[in-house]
Amino acid sequence: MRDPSRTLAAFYSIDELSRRRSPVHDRHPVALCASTAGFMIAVASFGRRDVSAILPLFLYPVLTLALADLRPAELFRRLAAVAPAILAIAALNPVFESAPVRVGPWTVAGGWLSFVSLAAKLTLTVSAAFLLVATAGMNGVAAGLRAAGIPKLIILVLQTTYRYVALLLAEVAGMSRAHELRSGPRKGVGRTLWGPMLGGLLLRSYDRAGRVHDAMGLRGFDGEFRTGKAARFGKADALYCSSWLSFFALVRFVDVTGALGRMMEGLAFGVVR
Amino acid sequence: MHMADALVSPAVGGALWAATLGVAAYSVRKAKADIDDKKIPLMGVMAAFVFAAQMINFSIPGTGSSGHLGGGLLLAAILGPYAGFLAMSSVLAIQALFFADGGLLAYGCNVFNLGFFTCFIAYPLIYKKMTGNDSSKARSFAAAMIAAVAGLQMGAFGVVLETLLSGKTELPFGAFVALMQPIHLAIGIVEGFVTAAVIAYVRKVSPRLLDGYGTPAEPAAAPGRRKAIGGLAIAALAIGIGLSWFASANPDGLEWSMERTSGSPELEATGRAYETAATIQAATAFLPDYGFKASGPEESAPAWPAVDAGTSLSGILGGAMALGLSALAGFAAFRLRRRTARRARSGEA
Repeated sequence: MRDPSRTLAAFYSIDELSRRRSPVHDRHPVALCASTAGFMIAVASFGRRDVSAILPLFLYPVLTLALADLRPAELFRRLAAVAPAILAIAALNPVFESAPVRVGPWTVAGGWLSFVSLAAKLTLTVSAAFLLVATAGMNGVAAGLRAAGIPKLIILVLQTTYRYVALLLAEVAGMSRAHELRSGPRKGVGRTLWGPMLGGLLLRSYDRAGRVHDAMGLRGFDGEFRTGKAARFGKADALYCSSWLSFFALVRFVDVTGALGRMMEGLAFGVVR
Repeated sequence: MHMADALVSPAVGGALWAATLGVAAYSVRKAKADIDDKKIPLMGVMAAFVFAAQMINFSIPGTGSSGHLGGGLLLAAILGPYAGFLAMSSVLAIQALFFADGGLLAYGCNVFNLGFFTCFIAYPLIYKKMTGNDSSKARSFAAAMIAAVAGLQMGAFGVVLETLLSGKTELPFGAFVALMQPIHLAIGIVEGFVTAAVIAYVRKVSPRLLDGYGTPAEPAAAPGRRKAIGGLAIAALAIGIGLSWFASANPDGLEWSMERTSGSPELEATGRAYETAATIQAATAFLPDYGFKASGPEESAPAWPAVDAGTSLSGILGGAMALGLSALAGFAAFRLRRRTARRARSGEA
């Protein structure tokens, strides 16, 4: 289970990243959401043993990280948090798929191909989710969902949740610290406090929701979160989105890796001759 | 229990996304009927509450381990099943976007496993039926416990089926089920205890908050069904107590099950369920060329199968070149960005 203070810090950090300016941050959120969706589908559609065919897709996270001026360390931290569980699953593959296959000059168990394939897919999909939220931000994701026809009520609840997560995390961090300081060496909250601790937080949250509603009403809230950001889908956005989608389609339906490899082989043989 | 994108195929992910959207649209329609505009911030704040409350670790007596709140059942009890489902969907979206807890393509799977089963099956068909309107504290406690266990068991089975249908791993059905269900039984009991404790506290301090509390009672369950539910409760408790050591110090049942399975190389990868799942997937696949662990021809392939383009020397060279070009493009973009930023700064000065 996560530490609430660290979770809060991570939450603020991603929120801060999304407020930057860069050629990627400046793109329309719908273009960013559509590119991410296309990327996710392309990655997931590769077969269990596909490894080399997926590799050209690494261009997307690498180029986006560089263009958006984001530090790879942020992404690696996120990857490190989720990788162990998935790699534990992937580690099964060589056990259950032991028939040997030739990989270039080497012979390995077929399961190693699916292991590497799963690890590559994990890296790519976690990167894409991080890049989306670190460039489009929550408001951008909401705009993308709206464009996809998701009902307004769902988006409203999501945006309200996002706004209050930080507040309640701070409250939980304070509660946990207070409990920790008063409970000596004991770890975790004891049985007798389960109800009062969470119930108390719940009642306070409920009252806070009422105050939030009144405050929003007094400020003229009409069911629309206004961000003040211009939201025109321009030519650059269309070009950004269509370029990436075309690239994903190319990698998915044409053997880009094979072509590159043959080109390299040809070059090497040319030099030898 | 959150599923990652790497484990999900587009067919399974897309189908569960569509199912989730359908249930969400239905929930919006139903929730709007009894929703006043006050409930919108309430749904958001309650979802944020569940997210934050999951950070609190509860020590489990006698085991030395800890558990945490799942939240689906509690949200349904406070907001009702429709608004509760929407709030739970929101919690899962924040987890997926900000903390990589569950993937984006796998979002529909996670909403179904953690939101649908608790809000639309465990809550109305178990919790509400058992508690009625003015049930005793013990009955309410048992109802929360059984509903939480049942919800989590269904969710865990959902994970197994979705992983199996996606065919991205070699996990055998039998071994995966045998490990997922017991560990989530133990986790469900912890979740049940925590949920019951919170509901009991809220009932005592502010009973008006609970969904349906104070409204006319629903017809009581038939005696036969009541007996069956009672029997189920006793069985769940007995099995749960017996298996509670499974909870250990590991916070995530999915992770725990995977690790246990990886340590069991003697398990068979073939089975009837696997073949059935393969047939279903073959019929529903809309994108070509993604694999499923078939136990037929692919399994009986010769020991030295023909080398395909993806594993040939040109494949390796091409893959290395693709990665190299990606890194080069990234480096060039990075340098370009830095140079542009420097020029902009010197221009300002």
